[in-house]
Amino acid sequence: MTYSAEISRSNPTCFMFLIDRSGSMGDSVPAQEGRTKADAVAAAINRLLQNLVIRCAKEEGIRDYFSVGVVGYGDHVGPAFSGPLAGRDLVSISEVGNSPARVDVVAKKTDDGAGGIIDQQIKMPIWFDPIASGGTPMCQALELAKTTLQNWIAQHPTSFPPVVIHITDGESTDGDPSGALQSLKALSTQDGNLLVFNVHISSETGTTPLAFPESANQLSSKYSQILFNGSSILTPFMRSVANDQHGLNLSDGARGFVLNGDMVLVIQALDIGTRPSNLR
Amino acid sequence: MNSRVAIKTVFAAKYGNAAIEYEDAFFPDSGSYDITGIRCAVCDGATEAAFSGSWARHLARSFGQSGLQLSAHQEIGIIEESIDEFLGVAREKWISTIDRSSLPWYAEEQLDRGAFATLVGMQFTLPATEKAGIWTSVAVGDSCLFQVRQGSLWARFPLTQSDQFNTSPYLISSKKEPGDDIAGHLSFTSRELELNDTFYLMTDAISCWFLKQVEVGGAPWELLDPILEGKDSLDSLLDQLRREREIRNDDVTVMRIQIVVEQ
Repeated sequence: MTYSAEISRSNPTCFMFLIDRSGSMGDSVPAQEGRTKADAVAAAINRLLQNLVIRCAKEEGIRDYFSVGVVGYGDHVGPAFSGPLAGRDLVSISEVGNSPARVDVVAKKTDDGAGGIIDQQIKMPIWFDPIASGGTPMCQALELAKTTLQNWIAQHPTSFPPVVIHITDGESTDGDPSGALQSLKALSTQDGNLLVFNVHISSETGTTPLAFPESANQLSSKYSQILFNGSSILTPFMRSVANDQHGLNLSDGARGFVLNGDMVLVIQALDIGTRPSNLR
Repeated sequence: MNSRVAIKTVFAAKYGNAAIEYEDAFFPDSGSYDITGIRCAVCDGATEAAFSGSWARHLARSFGQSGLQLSAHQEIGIIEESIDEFLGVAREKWISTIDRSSLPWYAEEQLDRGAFATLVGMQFTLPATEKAGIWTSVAVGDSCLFQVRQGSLWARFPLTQSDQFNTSPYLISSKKEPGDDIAGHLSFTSRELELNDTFYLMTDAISCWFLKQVEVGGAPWELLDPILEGKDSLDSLLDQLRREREIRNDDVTVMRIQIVVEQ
């Protein structure tokens, strides 16, 4: 249980994103009028998938260091890729890179290196579209993630364990998710237990932002407490990424839990959760 | 009397990678060359970037085929200017060899982020009738040069001890970013040369092992020479060193340059 397995093509790891697509995700992101939570989360997931692909890209193509799954829950529960990967639960990172639903082109102003500014065309691959509709069947989604990852672990018993990143704004509408979260956390490879991150984009007014706390003392909402208890303690390497590259000051008991409406923290959590320590 | 150099290189990809994934580079190929016209180089492409193998190969070849004249009497500022100019030309030529329109989106983005490599290069100045001359070398990053004379290590450059190796040396980028200046990152040396000297250019993992051996009184060239002569296998040595955790798992390149006097 050391979280030290080398991540290689013969010993890959797995990232699964569990995304709340319920109706309330259509509300605006606090302080960003007009931009919905669903839009902001979709943008963060697409950017993260793009970075994961680029991290694995070499001259000869994309090396399969990771499997990736995106499960959405709202109107229905299931795999949430758009485009050619629609309906697939876990796909290799090379398939992700080679099969976006579409590639948007946006203009970005950049330094030309000689004191001027130029417009540069940037390609933005899209795999995941924003949807906000229906209830919040969180337990069902956690159960689907568990079944999918049990199968993956059976095929990769010595790999660095899967990392699950769950992003939600609300309360489960199909029961208390505590048990489902605990049984997901209990899955393990020979290298350690599965790592669960919960990102709670709360709509409650007056909620104090909180990142990677060690205890639930500051959490007033019952659902925040449930999600905190269902979050894993960060590995030493994840803590070092958080402290060295994101300017945080986390100690040993810090958990993979974030409470805030601020997308910067969501993106930080995604980065900290998906930065492999030992990529070969 | 006419002096030539006999050059022999052995190399291996990182354990677990295919041979095609080897990202070190060297110039020239093994063979015999006139000593005064030859420029030798070894480069190490950074694992984290996509096009580093291609950039490293281009850099080694460009150095070897350049008109660079590294003189013992030049000041470091002049050397830096020459290398900066050489790199400007090398970058332009390299980028012109890549057809962006044929690349998938992720390769385009990798190209925009740049490719990275080390460089250690050397050349000789040896009057035809003399038994001694000068060698000069430039280096960026942690690829190293070693000079062996009469069974002992005579010179080491640019790193001199095994504890100086870390995983993030300054590397030459295929893109010159604003504020990114080779000055301060370039090492230059010029030393004397005798006809029976042997030189080794190596990438970092094997250089670090080489220095560790020297630090405990060993003569690591005695293990490398039979490999360079085809009597032993590099893979066998690396298997043993990796098993014993004596060497980091990385691409390995060793170039040996021997001075050969033809009467």
